Amino acid sequence: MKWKILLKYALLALITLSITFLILSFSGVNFGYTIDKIVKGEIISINLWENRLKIILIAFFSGGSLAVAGSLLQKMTKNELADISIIGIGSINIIFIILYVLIFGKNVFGNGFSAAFLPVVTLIASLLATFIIWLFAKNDNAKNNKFIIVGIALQLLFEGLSVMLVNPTQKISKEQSELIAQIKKYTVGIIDANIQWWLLIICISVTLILLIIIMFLRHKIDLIESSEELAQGLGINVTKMKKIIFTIVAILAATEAIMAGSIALLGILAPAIARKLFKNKTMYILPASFLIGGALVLIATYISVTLETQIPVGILSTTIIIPYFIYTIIRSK
Amino acid sequence: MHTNEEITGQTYLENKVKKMSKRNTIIKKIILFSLPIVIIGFFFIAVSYYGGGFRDGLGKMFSKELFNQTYQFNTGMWIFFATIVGSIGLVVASMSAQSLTKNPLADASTLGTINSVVFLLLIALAVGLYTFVERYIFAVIGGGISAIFLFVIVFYSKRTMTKTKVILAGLAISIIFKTLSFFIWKQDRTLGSVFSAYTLGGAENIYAKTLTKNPWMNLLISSILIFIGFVFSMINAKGMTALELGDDKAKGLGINAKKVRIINVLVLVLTIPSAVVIVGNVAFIGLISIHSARLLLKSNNMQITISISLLIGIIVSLFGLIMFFLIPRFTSSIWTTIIGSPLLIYLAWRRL
Repeated sequence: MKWKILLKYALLALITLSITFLILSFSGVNFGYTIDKIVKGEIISINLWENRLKIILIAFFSGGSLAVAGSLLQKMTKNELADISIIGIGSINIIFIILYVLIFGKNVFGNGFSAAFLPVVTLIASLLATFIIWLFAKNDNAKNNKFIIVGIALQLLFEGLSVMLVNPTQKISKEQSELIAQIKKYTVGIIDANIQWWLLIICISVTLILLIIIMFLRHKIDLIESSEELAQGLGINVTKMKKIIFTIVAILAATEAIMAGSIALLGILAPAIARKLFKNKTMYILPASFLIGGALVLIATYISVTLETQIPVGILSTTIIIPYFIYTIIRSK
Repeated sequence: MHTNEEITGQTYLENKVKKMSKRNTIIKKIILFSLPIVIIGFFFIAVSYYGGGFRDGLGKMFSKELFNQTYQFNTGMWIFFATIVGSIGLVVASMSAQSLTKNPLADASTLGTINSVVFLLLIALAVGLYTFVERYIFAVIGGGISAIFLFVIVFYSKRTMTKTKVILAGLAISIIFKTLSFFIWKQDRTLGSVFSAYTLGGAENIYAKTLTKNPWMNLLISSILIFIGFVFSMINAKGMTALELGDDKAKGLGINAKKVRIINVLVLVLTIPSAVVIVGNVAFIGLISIHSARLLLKSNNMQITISISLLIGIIVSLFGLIMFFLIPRFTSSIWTTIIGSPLLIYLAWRRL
């Protein structure tokens, strides 16, 4: 059986890699040509390469962290429809980012103190939102469907507010409109290379460290998901574990918000596909959903950036897979 | 012979029913009387806003300037009437949608219909069709597309759809159409302001950015279509109420469920596109008005609640307009979301 799982992983990795190469090969210029140029050391624009690399890293890790966060939330709330974008954590992050940028101005995108403070802001926002979710999930309310509908209502409210904040109806100064154009990307999930390298590296390393921590906790997560009483009986402190997992989810959501803004429904879709491929064991499903989430956002990035359609990745990466989603909705129990 | 207890129980029940009906009529009267006052109030505020102060506005109303229709006054009036007509359309539409999907949370915004209409409108503008006839044809096609989607989802699912799943499917549909709209928007940069106006919603944005020619003609056509939809739903109200009890019971009451559903789809296709053309994306208005009317009248009979819910819809959307006048940063459509989403949370938590 093991080789089957390995084969599936290999397939996923292959898909991801091939899309990465597709994005790296610039539009109009094929990949061999660019490799040739690198080997000869005559790259015309290093900037373009750097930007593409940044975009790939952002896409892969934001998609992956969203998928992992969604899958963890589903395991903790025992509700297969729980997701960061649906519960409203994502959009609270976005609103905090927008307000922060509107208050502190251009400096946020620079190198200074206010830029360094941005992760803290998103972390506070997502901790706040996750705390609310945790309060709901504590009393086992989260199993119900009303949990999802409450989340959707919150999501619609925050989304409306953020759309309104970035679409001013009055006339504004040129400086402010430039600023708004820059923060607009967060509301729809446009990936661009404006992010500083140090911030990106921090985000990526945080995501990787959290993934490793989760892999160490995998047996406990499985136990809690199957039965909390059983887990308690086996000597696991369930409430403490839940707190840890929810904190991890909050941190993942915060890093994702900094990198790419909001990506809708990805946290439901990627784990759903992963569950179909690998069953529900944490050891297999979490890396798989990380890969699938990353691959989906990469495909969207390819369509958006390399093919120059410029459709926001935040909605495109789910649109690719939505027919399957609707099919599962119609055909599932 | 009845025992004493039974008689007292019966009379108690009768009294309660009487009290209920009395209270219902009282509430109805209060609302019916207060509505003209409210509308007149809003009217005058609108006059004063666009006439440059209350006195000047009044002066303009009674002087020749009203008949010359100064540009600003004209704008204010258009926005005022479009808001009313649009909210009526959305309320009627979501009443039909709720009956069709058997889901108390269905609404033009939660089912993704608005996004499909906006998508088709953008296509029309991108192709270069600017006249209002073409605009309405495309809008109705958009409404029809999402109605087909709904039909497939509701009738071809293996088991009856849970409420959450219908909403999630609506969310998915709206994401698809948002993506497509973005695609078209990116191809044609001139559509930028139109797209943002439709997604933001509110009659004031629509007027400023999308209706360059013939705004009153648009309003007229929308009103006619919405009126037809309204008449249809009045005819359909009895059937819709009966269908809430379940298909079998409705059949027992002599109601043709198929006919009711087809009329519902027709109402959806007529009302949502014509509302979106004049007010854009206004979320939750149907949800707010229908459920607060039900809570207020303590009745699920649509023949009773339809009028009150229309009135509440008008009042809420006009409240949004007033808030826009007071705080221009917030467009009028956001206020319905601000009021509506807590209500949705309450409904989901208490009534689902």
